[in-house]
Amino acid sequence: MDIVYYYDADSQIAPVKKFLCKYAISSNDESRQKEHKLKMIALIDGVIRKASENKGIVGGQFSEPLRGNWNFQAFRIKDGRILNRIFYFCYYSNKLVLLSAIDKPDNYEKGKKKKVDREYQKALLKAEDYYKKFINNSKNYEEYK
Amino acid sequence: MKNINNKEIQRDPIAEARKHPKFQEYAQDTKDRIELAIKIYDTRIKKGLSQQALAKEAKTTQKIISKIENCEINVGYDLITRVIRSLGLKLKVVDAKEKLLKKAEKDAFCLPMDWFDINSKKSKLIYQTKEEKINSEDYSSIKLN
Repeated sequence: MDIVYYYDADSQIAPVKKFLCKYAISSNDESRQKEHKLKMIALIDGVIRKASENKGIVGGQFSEPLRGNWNFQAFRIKDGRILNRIFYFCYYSNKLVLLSAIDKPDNYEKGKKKKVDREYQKALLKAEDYYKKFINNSKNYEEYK
Repeated sequence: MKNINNKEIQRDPIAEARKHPKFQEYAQDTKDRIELAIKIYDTRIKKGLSQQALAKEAKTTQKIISKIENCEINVGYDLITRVIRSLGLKLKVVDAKEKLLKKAEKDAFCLPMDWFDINSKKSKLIYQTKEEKINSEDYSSIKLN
């Protein structure tokens, strides 16, 4: 199964690619930071590749069906207290499309639960919107290299 | 809708990370760690154990079990052996090549003869591994025994 980033023609970005930029190595990073970022990228890449080799299923704690009636699933990759979720779906069993992503704090700070939930709900709606756009125009993608 | 050919050039953190000399090493480590994490999680769920219960059995904490299942930590041999034994599993060191061969065997799928609409009596099944993907244009080149 080929892995592709969904490309949003309206905003001219690939949302997952943009999200992963937080792990992009910069010249200002200290060696420990660089190592952490590389390891996180390796983990994210490993999970995505595992899914692509296994008909979109990873197993373990790395993927889970979402609550509610959504047309996509989520990868679940932890980075300390932050839980990265990457929404994806399999298109005609030959493409694994990475729609969008969100980082959700694992431990809610006091009084912030509702805000995080609202943000998460928004992200789900956005991913659903991307899904519909991709279904309408399946050329809206960028290669995953 | 804007023309998707005019894609804005974006950074690709995964492609950038792949160029790093240490990335291959991390990617291989992560791949093995993902396999281990999935095996531990799936076996734990099959056995109906909670992370807490497994932690008690393996003389560790729930947090550590969670971290192992999420590939968050580099665990030592003693700890991983205790966790694995508690689940009724055991570690086995295998030849990487042997492992690949077994995987290829497992991934092999068979196609019924009539799928190709060929009435050869000799060939009943055609085995093809995932690595040797069958493309529609390759059908003519498949040799039957």
